Amino acid sequence: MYSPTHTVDTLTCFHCGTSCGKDHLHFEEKDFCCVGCKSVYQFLKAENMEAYYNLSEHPGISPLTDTTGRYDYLSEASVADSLLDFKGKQFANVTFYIPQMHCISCIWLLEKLYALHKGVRHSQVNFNRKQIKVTFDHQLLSLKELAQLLAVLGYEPEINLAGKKDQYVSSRSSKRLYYQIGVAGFCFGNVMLISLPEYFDWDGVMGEHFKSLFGFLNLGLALPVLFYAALDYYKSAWAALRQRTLNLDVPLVAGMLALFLTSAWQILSGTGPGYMDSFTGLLFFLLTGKAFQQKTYQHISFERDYKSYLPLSARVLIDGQQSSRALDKLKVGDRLLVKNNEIIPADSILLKGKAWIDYSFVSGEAEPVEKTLGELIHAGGKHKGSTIELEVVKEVSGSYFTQLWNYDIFAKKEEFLETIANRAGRRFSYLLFVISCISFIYWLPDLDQAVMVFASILIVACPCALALSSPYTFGNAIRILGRNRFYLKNAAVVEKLASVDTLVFDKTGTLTCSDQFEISYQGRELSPVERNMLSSLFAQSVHPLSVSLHKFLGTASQPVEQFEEHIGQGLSARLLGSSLRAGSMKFILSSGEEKHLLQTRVYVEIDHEVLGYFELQSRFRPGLEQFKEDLKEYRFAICSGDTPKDRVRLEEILPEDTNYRFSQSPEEKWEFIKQQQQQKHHIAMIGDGLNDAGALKSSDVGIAISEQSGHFSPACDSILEAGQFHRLPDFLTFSKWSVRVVYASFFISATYNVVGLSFAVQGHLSPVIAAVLMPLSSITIVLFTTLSTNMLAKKLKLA
Amino acid sequence: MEIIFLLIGISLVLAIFFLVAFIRAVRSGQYEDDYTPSIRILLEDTPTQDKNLNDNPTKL
Repeated sequence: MYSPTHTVDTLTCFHCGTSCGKDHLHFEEKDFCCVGCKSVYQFLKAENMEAYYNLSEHPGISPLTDTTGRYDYLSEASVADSLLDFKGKQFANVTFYIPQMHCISCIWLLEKLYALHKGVRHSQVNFNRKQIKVTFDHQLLSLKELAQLLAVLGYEPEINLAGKKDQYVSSRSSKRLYYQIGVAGFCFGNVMLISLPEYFDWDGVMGEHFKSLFGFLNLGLALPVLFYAALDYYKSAWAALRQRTLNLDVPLVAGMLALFLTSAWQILSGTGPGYMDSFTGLLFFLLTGKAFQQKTYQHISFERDYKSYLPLSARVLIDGQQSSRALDKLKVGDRLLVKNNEIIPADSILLKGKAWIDYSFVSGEAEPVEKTLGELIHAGGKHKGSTIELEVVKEVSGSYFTQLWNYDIFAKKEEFLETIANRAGRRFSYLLFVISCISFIYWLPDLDQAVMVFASILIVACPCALALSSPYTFGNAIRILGRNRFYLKNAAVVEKLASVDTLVFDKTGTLTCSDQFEISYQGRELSPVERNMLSSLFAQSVHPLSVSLHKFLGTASQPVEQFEEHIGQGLSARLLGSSLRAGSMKFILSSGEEKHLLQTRVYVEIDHEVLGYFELQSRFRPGLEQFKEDLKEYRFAICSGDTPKDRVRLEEILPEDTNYRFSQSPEEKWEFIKQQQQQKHHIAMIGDGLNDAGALKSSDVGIAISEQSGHFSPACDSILEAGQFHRLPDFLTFSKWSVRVVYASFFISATYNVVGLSFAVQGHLSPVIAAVLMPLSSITIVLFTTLSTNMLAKKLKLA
Repeated sequence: MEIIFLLIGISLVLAIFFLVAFIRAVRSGQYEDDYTPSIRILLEDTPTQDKNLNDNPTKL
């Protein structure tokens, strides 16, 4: 077998760090993989900005080769104004999302934009959000030019006209939580300080008038907590009651109110010091838990719509002139130009050129479909090949692609979240209700006493530890998984992941790496000259198979004569006096093609002698062979839009009872998930493309595989970076153990409650013990949950 | 012992001052990016120094 041992392959680009291919460039004793990278280097060098390369190794991003016309739509005033945060007489502010941002050098360069163009006044990066905020002089530099400047540097801004509003809302609600924590913390600290004499029984020293002053101060300090900090808990409890169900917040709010009212009564009537320290402390711990749980990945969007997959504008031909037009303004009959690797924006008919459309994202078919003149091309496919001309037959909003996305049956109803905490909270509430009512009736002849007993049961039983354990456990779990590049939408996903018993995989792009083939050759041994000749032949075509084979055979590229590409069949040409042909079995052997061939084969022929064939197989993701062993307790299913050609190879590595379903439409995938759920199975759907969108949404946990975080993925519950695919068994085990940690902490909190109750029953619950016990139980829970999840992560060798 | 009234008053005023400072910090967006500033402080500010000197001799 031939193995590519070119010295060229070992060189890495000085700018972007990818290994250099055939277009390798040598410039100033540095290696570059493409003209784009070299030009960024030259540009930065000319501006004396070489420090960019000293901060981290290969910091660059290979820029787009052709940016002309790409941002033309930004010169339209209405579009530009909708993107600007602020526009004054001279200066304007804009915030761009730049997914490519990844290292210190990026921050440095992006904040130095002012040195590259004098129109830029100031630029500031928010690395977590991958955003850059630029203040620029719009008389010297237009928005379009600014976007182009960034694109030339390799930091192509991702512009989404719809996404601006949501961000604003989420930032406001997280600020509100910070205010609430601040207020609760302030009140808690001061109440503790003022209550200090009470803990040590310093009555004799302090005197009676201090006691009442302290009482009233405590009451005053508790009011902001009652009316502001605890607000969201009332709302949640009320929402649950209105839906005629109970969640954990119901007994929590009952406990809080009982605690506050009893304390207020004691203070006002002068019968006791109250428990305002416990009340404020409880809220403070609860709110910090909430903040801890609210870990969000600001640079990742879990709710994308089709608009962020399609480009924002398309190249339109008007009277032979190219111009750019926003996508929603495309009309039926418009002529479009689509270049290599661009996405077809609307359903249209091919007018000029040859098209290979890669539908792997839309339908799951692994191989590109060939389209001839006059054929209909659906939106969403990626064009591979030389520039083609199209005529739009349907507007963007009416295309099959858009409908697939907006399919009504796929819409998941936002149901009331059934979490462990809520389930426990509901059982707890019933129990609490029964116990407190019985006690109330038992003491009823003495109304004062009955009310006191009723309140103290609510207080003692307040499920604060219960309410703390899941936020801290799952909040920490989200962080640990995020560090391992498995990003969850929210904490509830950890729980759902733990309950999963069936794993449904998509094939193309999920189990297989897209764009990577395992190539083997069968037939007569090829001489180096023959290799070069065939490689030169394949170099002429942009068909993905040709591209892969060209790479496989080495990167020689000699000019050939009489090159001809026979659509759907193969290639032929003359080189060095020999005739070369390559293509399908039918094309080369002139014998009938086997319809259900399991692998893709390309036959080659030189001077009418058939030498043999190349076999191309999609490559499975590394680690897949371990799943059978590591995921024994799960049921497996494969649900693919592709033909069953890889079935035999999959059967070798997956468990015997795996359910195989091939040639599935998006609707069939969705139905399969629904049908499994009706049989009471909990399903994790692992997919990557748009054809999985429905299945991802309706499954219990939708896991989208993404080659790079920040890249496009359909709406889902979690995003797994492709390189971490082999860790999936560990992630599933980790989620199961996290749930066990929550149960263990429930047990701990129950122990505390029993101890507290037994003290109270015997009349030994002195204020100082009560004051210590409450924070102590909260802190124990916080420590126990975070430490044990960290230990688990270490045991599973998660970073 | 009456001094305690005054001390408590002072301590409360101080605490409120800190609370207001915290709220202002949140409002100004300090908590929205907890990573970039830590990097920014490490970066050199003057890689373009030589060029500036050459380009703007009048400023010297």
